[in-house]
Amino acid sequence: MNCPRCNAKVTFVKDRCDNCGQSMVQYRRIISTSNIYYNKGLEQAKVRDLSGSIRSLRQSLEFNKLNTNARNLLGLIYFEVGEIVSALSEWVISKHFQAENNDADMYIRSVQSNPNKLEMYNQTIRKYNSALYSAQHGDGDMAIIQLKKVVGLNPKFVRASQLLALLYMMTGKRDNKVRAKRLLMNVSKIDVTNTTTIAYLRELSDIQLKGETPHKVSEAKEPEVRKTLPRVEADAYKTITPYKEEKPSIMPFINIIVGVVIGLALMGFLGIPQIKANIKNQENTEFKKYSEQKAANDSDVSTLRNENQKLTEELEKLKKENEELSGVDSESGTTLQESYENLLAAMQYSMNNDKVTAAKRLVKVSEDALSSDKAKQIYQQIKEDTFEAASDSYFVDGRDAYNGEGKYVGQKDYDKAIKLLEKALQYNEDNTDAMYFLGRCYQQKSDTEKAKEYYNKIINDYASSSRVGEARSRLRELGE
Amino acid sequence: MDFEAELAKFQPSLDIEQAEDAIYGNNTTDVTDLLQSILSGAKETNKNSPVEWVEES
Repeated sequence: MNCPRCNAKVTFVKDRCDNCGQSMVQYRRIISTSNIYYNKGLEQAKVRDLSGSIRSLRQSLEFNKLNTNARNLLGLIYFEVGEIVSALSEWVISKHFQAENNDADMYIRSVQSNPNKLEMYNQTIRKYNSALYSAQHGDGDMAIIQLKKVVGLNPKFVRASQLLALLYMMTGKRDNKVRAKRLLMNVSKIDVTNTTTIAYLRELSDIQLKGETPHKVSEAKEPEVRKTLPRVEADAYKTITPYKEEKPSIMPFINIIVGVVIGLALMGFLGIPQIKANIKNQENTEFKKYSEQKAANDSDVSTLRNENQKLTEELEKLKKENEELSGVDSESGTTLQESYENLLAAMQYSMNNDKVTAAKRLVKVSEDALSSDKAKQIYQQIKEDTFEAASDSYFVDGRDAYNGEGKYVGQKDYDKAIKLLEKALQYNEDNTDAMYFLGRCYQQKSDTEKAKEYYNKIINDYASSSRVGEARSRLRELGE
Repeated sequence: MDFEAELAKFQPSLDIEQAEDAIYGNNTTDVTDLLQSILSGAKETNKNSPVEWVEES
């Protein structure tokens, strides 16, 4: 606290200034009164009694113009009700009296930091003034239009809302009265004790807004003077009974069971379809995976089959090449070496005049397997020398087996004879004697068809043969 | 309700340009100023008043 005379610092508890001796008693009382009004204003502001708060704070400042808190709060309240210039004025004066550690500095900065908003505030003020001028000069409609814009821009501008509500009310139309009431209800939320708002709302008490309960004016009744003692309920004063355990109730269990049933039903309706869908999706995915895998396996199998076929072909080719290289004749089954060995043996037997054995060995030689022309020439030469003799030899044996003579004395054997005679034909296919006796053998065996076949072959193919006459004779016997 | 009278109660709002005038025009005299002036006035009065003779009984 400063001394009002010399402005020296004085502690609040001292009655006199140490510097000039000025009595501080009165001065302290004034400061205290200012603070009391400030506190009152603060309490009122907290419950949105803004009009009351303005009055209290003004009084506080009338006692002590240096009460910065009161001035700053007054500025805030002006700002809240849309009186921007008044708010700024209070904060500027506050800043003038207390340059440092002053909240007003922050308030001013927050307003000035947004030039667009400041311009908007200024515009609302101008429009309000213009509307007021129009209204006071009988142009209510114009005023309403302008005030609508003002309220739209700054709904907290209480004075503008009040003026607009008044103009609505002046029109006398019910719709406008409803609008007026709505406006006043809005501003009454900003400043709950504004006398103007309250007065206008009272004027509009016959107007009911949607959702508003009709206000019943009930006559104040004086409370009846109670002449008797208050009625006491019969069971108010009961003897306290000893504690008894409550019988178990089945209701909680029933509730639990019902709850479980409902839960299960909900799970059945909501949960199970979802689970089913999930399982189906999973199955589809697995099936897809399996199909893809199967397709891949099929492809692999097909590839392996192709490879197997190729390898088999290659193996066959290699086998063939190997056979060719080793000299095996696939038809006769004799190797090159065996053919040459048999050829040499046949040569040796031929030179020893054993033509039959030579022919037997020569039969085992594959002519195609012989690589050189010389060998082929030798083969032909031995064949010419030996095959006819071998044929005759086999014929003689076959005929003896047929007749039961020679080696086969007393042993007629047509089957043996047929085998020997066929061998005779193998060595010489033009041996008509062998053909004739083959016919005879089959005739004896009653195989007339085969017998006829051989007889006809002699007659048709070997007309100059000595066996032609016999063959015809035998055919006649057979009924030809 | 007298609407005209109500309308007359409404005063124009101050523009931001007029804020300076409002600040300078603000009456910043408070009770402490009054007290100060009262005190200084009393002092002057005490200085100027003549000392009167008081008879002893």
